[in-house]
Formats: sequence, C-alpha cells, structure tokens
Amino acid sequence: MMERGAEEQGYLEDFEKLTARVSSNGGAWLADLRNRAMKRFRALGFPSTRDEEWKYTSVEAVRKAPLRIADSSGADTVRSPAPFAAAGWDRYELAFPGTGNGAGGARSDGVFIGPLADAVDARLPWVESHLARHADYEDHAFRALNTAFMEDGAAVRLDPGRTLDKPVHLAFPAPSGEARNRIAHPRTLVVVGAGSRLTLVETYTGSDADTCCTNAVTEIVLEEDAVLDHYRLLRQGEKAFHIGTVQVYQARNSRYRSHSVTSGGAITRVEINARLDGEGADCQLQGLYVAGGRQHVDSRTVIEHAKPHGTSRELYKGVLNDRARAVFNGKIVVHEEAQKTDARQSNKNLILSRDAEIDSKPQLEILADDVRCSHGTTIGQLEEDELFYLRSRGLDPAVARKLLVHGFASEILDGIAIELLKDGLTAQVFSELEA
Amino acid sequence: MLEVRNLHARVEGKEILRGIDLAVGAGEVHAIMGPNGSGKSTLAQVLAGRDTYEVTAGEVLYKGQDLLGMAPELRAVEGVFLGFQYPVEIPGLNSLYFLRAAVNAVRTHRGEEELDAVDFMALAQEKMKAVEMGEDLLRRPVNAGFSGGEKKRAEIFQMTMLEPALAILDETDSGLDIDALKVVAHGINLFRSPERAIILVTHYQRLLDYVVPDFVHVIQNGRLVKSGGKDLARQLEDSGYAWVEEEAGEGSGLGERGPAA
Repeated sequence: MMERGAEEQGYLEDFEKLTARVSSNGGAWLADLRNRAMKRFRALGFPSTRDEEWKYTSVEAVRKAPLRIADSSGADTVRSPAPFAAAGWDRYELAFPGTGNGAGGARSDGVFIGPLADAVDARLPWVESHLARHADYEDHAFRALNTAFMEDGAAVRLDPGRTLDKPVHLAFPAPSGEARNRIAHPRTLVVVGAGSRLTLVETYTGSDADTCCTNAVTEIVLEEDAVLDHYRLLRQGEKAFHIGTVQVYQARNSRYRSHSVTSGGAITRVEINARLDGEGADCQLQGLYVAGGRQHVDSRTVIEHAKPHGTSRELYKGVLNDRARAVFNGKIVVHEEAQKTDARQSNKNLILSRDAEIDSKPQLEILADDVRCSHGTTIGQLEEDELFYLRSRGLDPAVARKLLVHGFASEILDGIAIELLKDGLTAQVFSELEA
Repeated sequence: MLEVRNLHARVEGKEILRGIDLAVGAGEVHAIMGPNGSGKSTLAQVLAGRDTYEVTAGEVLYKGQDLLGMAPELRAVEGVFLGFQYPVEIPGLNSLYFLRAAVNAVRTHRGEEELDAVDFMALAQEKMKAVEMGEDLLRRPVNAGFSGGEKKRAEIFQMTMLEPALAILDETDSGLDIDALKVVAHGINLFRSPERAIILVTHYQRLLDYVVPDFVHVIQNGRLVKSGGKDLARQLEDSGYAWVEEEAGEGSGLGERGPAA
C-alpha cells in the first residue's frame, strides 16, 4: 500500500488542474463532491487481486500506465469515427468529446438531452438530487475517480409521461489519436420520469492501438412505471482499458432492459447494478462478451430486490478464444421485505480454445422466504452432435463451427430491437470472432 | 451405387456392426428393418461418417470410391444424405441461412453457380409445398422447437433441396401420425428416380405401405440376416422378428446380398 504513491501523483496533479479549470461551474455542491470523491480515491488506492471484488481481475496494468486526463475538455483528443454510427439508424446523438459544452442541450417539451456540464451549469434541480446519489464510490476506487474527474458526459431527462420518437445515442470514442496514455471519465445521468419511455444507446469505441483508459459511470433513475431500453455497446482498441459502471435505480413498476455487448480491449470490466426499490419492478439484463487473444473481460452484475413482486431475468453469454480470460459474477440480493420476488439468472460460455478461461460465479443472497430464484452456469465447447449435423449437410468444419458460434451469440444480438444497429453490431461481432 | 462389404463397427469397445454386406443400385429403394439395438441406426451413421463409431473391418464403395475415407462433408457434397432419426436442434442458427449454405456447398462442389437469396427462396418455396411445410419454419432456427413431425418433414425437405444421389433415411417414419406419414412418404416418392437410390431404415412396416421398397433386409445383432422383396416386410409385420431370429440361428448367420450395383 505504501508504494502506490508514485502512480497516484499524476492523478493528484490532474485533479488540481481540473478543479482550477472547472471551479466556476456547478456551484459549491459539485466542488465538494469532487473533493470528497478524490479524498476517497486516495484512501482506497487502486484495488488489488487481494480484494475479493477484484480477485480475478488485475488492474496493475491500469495502475502502472502513466494515464493523464486531457488538458481541457476534448482539446487534444482526436475523435475517431464511431463505427456504430455508420449504420444510419435514426437517433438523437451526442458525441463526447465533441458535443461542445455550452451548447445548452435540446430542451423542449419536458425533455432535456445535453452535456452533463450544461445541465449542471443550468442548476437543473434533478441533477443535484440524483448525481452521485446512486453510484456509490465509497468502496470503489474507479467510481471515486470518475466522480472526482467527471467532465464529459450526458444528461438526459424525460418529464413524466413523455415518449421520445427515437433513441438517444451517446457516443464515447476512446481517447485516441495524438493523445497517448489518456484517461477519460465519462459521466452520464439519465432520469426517466413517471410513465415515460426511453431507448438509450451508449457506445464506447476505440480504433487505435495506443494505451488509453475509459472509466465510465452511468447513473439511471427510473421513476414509477418508467421504461428504459438500454444498449451499452463496447468495442475498444486492443490496448484499451475500460472500467464501467451502470447504476440503476428502479421505482415501482418500472422496467429496465439492458443489452450489454462487449468486445475488444485489453482489460474490460463492466458492472451493471440495479436496485429494484419499488413493488413490481422488472429488470432484464442481457449480455454478450466476446474475447480472444490475451483479452480480459469481467462482467459483474448486482440485482437487488428491495421490494415485493419484483422480477428479474438475466442472461449473459460469452465466447472465448485463444488465451482470453473472462469473469462473470452475477449477484442477486433479495431483501427480507421483497417477498414474491421472481429472479432467474443464467450464464453460458462457449470456449473455443484449450487456453481460454472463465471464472463464473453466481451469488444468491436471499433473505425473504417466499421467492423464486434460480441460477445456472454452463461452460462448454461446441456440441459434436451439432457439428456433425452441419457437416453431414456438406458444410466444411470451419464453416460449421462459425455458424454454431454465430448461433450462440445471436441469442443476445437478436434481442436488439433497433434493426440497423443490430445488423451493424452483428456484423462487427462476427468479424471479430473470425479474426 | 453403394457397396458395403463385411462392415464391422464398434462404439466404446462394443461391436455393433458385425459384418454387413449390402449392395444398392441406382433407382432402387432398400428397406433395412430390425428391432431396437440391432445396429440399423449405427449403419446409417457410419455411412454418413459419424466418427463416434470406429470401423474395424470391411469397406464401403460409393460410386466406386472409398466412402469410409471421405470426411462427412465430402460425402454430403458427393451426394450422400442422411435423414436423422433425431434431427439436431440448433437454437440461434437461422434455417434459411443454414440451408442456403448447405445447398451452395453442394452446388460449388458440382461446379455450379451459388444461388443468391432470391433464387434460393424460390426453389425452397417450391420444394416446401411437396412436404406441406409452412414457410414460417424456415424463418426459425434450425429444428428449434419443431414438433417431431415438423422435424421429419424438414429432413425430407432438406433432402429434396440438396438432391443427393443416395438418401439414407433413419427412422424418418417414427413419431409421425398417419397424415404426417403420408406427407413424408409423398415427399420420398417424388424424390425417387432411376438415378437415385434410397435406403429406408425403419422399425415398422408402416412406411413401406406408402413407399414401396424394391428390397427388404432384416438386420439383427449387427448382421443382415434375411433379404427379400417387399413381401418380407409384410411377413415381419404379421409375425414379428422372432421367426427370422430362429431361421437365422439355423442358417449361416451371414446376410444375403442384394443385387449388385
């Protein structure tokens, strides 16, 4: 613990630079929040594999990399084109950095879509009441860092009873181009009002080979009867680190559907945590992780049933090749009060090489007595029966294998309701599998 | 077209086929009948190239070539088709996509141009009618959630799409109600031609009322113990397999040969 100082020095210098730059923005509460978070980060330090929560994922490489933030928001960062955007699907889009702060966001008829900094400057009341109230940083160094450094990112708010006519796309290209060893801390706040519906697409992409790190936090608040379809699509460059948290707060009868697709990146860790804090809330988490080479991908979910009659469905699938290593940790917590909870979790892994590895760990903590909870994990290779069936129809073994792997991944990809996005992403994932 | 000579095969050390001799000529339909565990499905799987079975002796010539030396996919594109007793469900793999890949594998091997999506669909629609298969099945993943009857129809449909020279249909009749059986039989009869041969592997005589075979063979304990014309199937239906067993016990125990290919 004593020796960690050197790596943290850069973060301290950056923090001073940042606070000097943004001090005029947002009022005292935000400055205070940043200070508290930075203090917490300094107390925690980077996690090590001795920490139970990080047992299978070493972030030593992240700790040791001389990562620095950009000198000013977006100034020395060359934005690579977001591959997901090519498909031409209809959407509202904000790209970070790139969407200039001060643009004010689109505000009309009870809808706000804009940079988080603008929402802070405008002192919109829902920002202060929700920002950093859900994504807890007390025990999480990366969330603490994000909270201290949050700068680029979006704020989206739908007043009660609104339905947007198209999805909102938040594009986060990894820090790249001339900016080597950059770290970015995108922060997004989404508040969906009672009875409102929103489709949110977050894409994190990176195309170059420079070491960089994205440390993202997205906070989502679903008021009563709100519905959110959330796509979190990740495709990072081969030397990229990505640490991400999605923290969801669900009120009564709200519905949250998450589709998380992860590929690329050297070290990737995505945590999706939902707290079902109202009766009858529904949470569906679907995930696909694809890894090859020496990639490390860690998927971590916590579904917390705090009130009765909640339902959750979770299916995460992984395809691992070469020497890739994956971690799945799915935790379901059912509080004593949360009777009649119906929770199901499944993690399925397809291992294509002898040297690939998966640590799959389902965790159930059930304190209520009248609940239905189940979980299951499968780790397997391609089925010989299926392979023979396809070969007996004339398909070359390599083609047959490819079709079966695609079939395995399609179960998740087919759940993407935006057709053009699904097609583009499917093509990308499949090309990755063949690389 | 097909010549099987003294074929022995085993699985996990247990001998299942113990000297099969069979000759099938173009234009012929052969029925191989036998009780459960007699080795009839093993024979079908070995001919298609399933590597869980180890061939320990004998040889198989298909159009004069060494069939056992060929990989399963090569057998398929050369015109050998196995209709599975239990067609495999593959969730996530689209039927249309799969079948077009299969049809085009065969076409490429024959030196023909690949079918594009439009031409493929037109061909599929025509062939589906013959087995009264709903187009919606093609939009679903391969065999996933199909009923028993739907799976068997889908196998026959695949056969008509792939146009093999030799079709080996493993218990294609099992699990079918009489209407479905008639539909499947109709599909097989349409497929019959002087250039093609069919081997029907079946437990029951029922299918043979609708697809009349030229030859019937009885398989028992891994050997063909009796061969005859279509009337043999009727005899089996009336008297069961026991009398063949007795006869075989008295006789040589070696299978009789069908006519040379």
